[in-house]
Amino acid sequence: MAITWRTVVLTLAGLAPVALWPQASTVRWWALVVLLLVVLDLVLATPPTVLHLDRSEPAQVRLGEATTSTLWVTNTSDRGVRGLLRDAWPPSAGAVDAVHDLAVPPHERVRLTTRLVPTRRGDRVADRVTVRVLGPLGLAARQRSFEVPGAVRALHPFPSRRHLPSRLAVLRQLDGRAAVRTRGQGTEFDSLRDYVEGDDVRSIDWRATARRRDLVVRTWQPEQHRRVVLVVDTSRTSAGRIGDAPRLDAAMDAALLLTALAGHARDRVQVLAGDRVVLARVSGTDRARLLHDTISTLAPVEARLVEADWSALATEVMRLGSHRALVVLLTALESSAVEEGLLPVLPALAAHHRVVVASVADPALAVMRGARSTTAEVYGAAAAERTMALRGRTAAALGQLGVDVLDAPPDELPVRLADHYLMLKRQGLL
Amino acid sequence: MTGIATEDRSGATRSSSTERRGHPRVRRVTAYVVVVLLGVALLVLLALSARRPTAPLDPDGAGRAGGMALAEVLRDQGVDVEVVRSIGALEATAPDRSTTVLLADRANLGPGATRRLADASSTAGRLVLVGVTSEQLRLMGLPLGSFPGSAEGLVARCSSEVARDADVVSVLDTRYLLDEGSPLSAAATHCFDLPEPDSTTGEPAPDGAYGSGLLELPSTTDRPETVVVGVGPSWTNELVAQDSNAGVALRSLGATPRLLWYQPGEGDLTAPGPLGGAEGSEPLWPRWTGSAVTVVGLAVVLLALSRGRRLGRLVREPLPVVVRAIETTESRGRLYRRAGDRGRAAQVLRAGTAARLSRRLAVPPGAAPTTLVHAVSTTAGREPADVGVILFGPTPHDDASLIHLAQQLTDLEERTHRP
Repeated sequence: MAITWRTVVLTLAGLAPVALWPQASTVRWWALVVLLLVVLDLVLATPPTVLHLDRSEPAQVRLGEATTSTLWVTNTSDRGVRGLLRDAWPPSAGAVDAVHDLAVPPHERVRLTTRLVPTRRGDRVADRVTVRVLGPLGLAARQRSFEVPGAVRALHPFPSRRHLPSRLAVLRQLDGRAAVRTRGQGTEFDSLRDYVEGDDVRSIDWRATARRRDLVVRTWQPEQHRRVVLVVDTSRTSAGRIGDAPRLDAAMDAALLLTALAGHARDRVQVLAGDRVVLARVSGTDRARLLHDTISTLAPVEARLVEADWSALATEVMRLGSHRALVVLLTALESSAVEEGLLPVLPALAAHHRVVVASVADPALAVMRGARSTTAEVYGAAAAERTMALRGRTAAALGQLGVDVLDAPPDELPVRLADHYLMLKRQGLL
Repeated sequence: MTGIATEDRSGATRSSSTERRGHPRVRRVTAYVVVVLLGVALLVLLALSARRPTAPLDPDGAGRAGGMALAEVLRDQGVDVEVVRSIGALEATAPDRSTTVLLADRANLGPGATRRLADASSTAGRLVLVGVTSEQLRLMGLPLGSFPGSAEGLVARCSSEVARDADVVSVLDTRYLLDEGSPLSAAATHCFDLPEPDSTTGEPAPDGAYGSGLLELPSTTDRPETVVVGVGPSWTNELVAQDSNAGVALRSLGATPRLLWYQPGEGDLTAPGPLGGAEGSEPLWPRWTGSAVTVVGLAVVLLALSRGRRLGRLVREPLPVVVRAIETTESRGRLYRRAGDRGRAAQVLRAGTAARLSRRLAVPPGAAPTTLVHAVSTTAGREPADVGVILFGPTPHDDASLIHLAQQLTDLEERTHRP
């Protein structure tokens, strides 16, 4: 039950009789009157159980954008229902105006819409829906909470998607699908066609020319149907925040851009995210749904404060297939974590696959290294210098194993990784 | 392995903390109990000490300002001393002609009680008022003014039932003056007149022009013989035995076989007047105030209830830990600073700069320091000796020189970058 402000006003109205008959008994009688009215109102109020609640699932939403969750409230009784309804969501689901005024005529249905602007990536499960039905006098209300299942998934905002068109244009050039069809770059033989002015004379296929008595050139295309395995590290080093977002978000951004690009290049993309266990796994066979599946699967993945088990992750990568693949490890270049966990398993991995380690660098480190005006700052600069030296040493150690190392700030890493992939594709190194 | 070890450690910490938690709780409870006991003891002490009356001229007061000695002497003289501590009790005793009513302490005498005192004492033989204020005198219908004053060793210089001509009282704290043109001026007897303030002889001013320490007003139809006393402090335990204090007091109070010693209690401050309050003392608050406060209080409680009732439970949400990636590096910096390891800091800074300069100037990594120094001095336009000191010089001896070194390294890099 609950009482409303009207009860308070009714009680204050008792000042009038008290002024007329200033005795303690007046107060008692008035309190009794208020109590009786409240009880009467409670008894006469419609029980909330006559309401039938349904929720239509809110759609997935990219982080930073708004969606709505719709509740259908059906009144199954012969009396109208007035009151309040609260559609409770966790704070980071960003529910705006979650408390609705409720007025349902008998045997009718109303729709209540709660606007959701999630503030954090991941799944947000709706809490209970609470209904407060007012009595006819509006003095008191009956209240009850119902479980109405529902959830909203906030997807990674994927800010680097704005770089996708330019990289796809590069890919089309590689592909030979550009507007001007020139001799394609790449290593796979595609087809023969007639020579046109401007073609590279080195690409003339003399044997075919001899057969046709016209000049024929060979065209090439980049390799297709190569495997790209993206491993997103969700261990403690990915939980560290750079600016306002954890490293993991930047790593996912890079992984998503590469997924989109490699999907368009007709490569087979597989995504793993995990630390000691694999938390998410996408094996894109359906090219059309690949990016959507990846974003959706990675959405609820959060960094955990555990050490990564690289031997387990390497085993998972091996299990995905024995064909040579481009393995991209999205992790942090923390010297101790890498030396203890990743370095021992890398030789085996690098022997079978082309391995790229992509790390999110912290721009604050360079700022810290440059600030040298106070004692604290100078010691901080020395510490930053030391951290960078250690990162450089780790990168060098990885490089000696034949691993490509990319170390870039969060906004640059996706582009750097995409460009590296295009470079590998251009050189036929996949 | 690491994970298991971590779990073990956290489990151990948890169990040991649960064990340890028992002790602080016991200690906290003990502390609460001690605080409560102390509070109770303090309250008991306060209550006990409050029982001992400290009001001036209290008949049970054994202190310096009390009136116990006077009361005992009066009893020894065969006077029936009856102490009343509220105006209601005074009215209940119904004083008659053989009764003297004494108001010994005016502090708690409210306006209502004053009027009722005047009414109740109208049938008494004598009314003695000690130290009353002008306001109280006005309420009792006495044409007198009360003024603060102070004098010592006053001589009576009057002759009446109460005071003899040569009586001397020790101390005076209030002086009384008859209103000008009052019809009582002729009938009233004033004793212990005060001298002129500038007087050097100490002779009292004629007709009590500067007030008197004791005024006797004859009885009228609605008022008994009234003695207004401004020498109250002389009657206290401390001073009653000195000079003629005791004589004046006994003659004032012991004239009748019965003495009603009225010591107003705190309730008399707000006691209603003789006609139930409406006409008598003006009450501080309207009569419905108490009930209205109750109603408003009830409304406030209901408001709290109505606002406090939550519309459904709070929604909990696990939040991610916020760890800044730069934190480890910052701690490393603090570690360097706390250790005061200038040698290490300088070495790290120099190594970083040297590595970048080597890369920029294409000096092979394994080359001798002199090669780098020469390359840098050529590009940066500085003396090779200076460059050598900056890059490979001695360890700075204090923080200021460390800052200087760090800034010189930055400067060197900038010069090399933009020659």
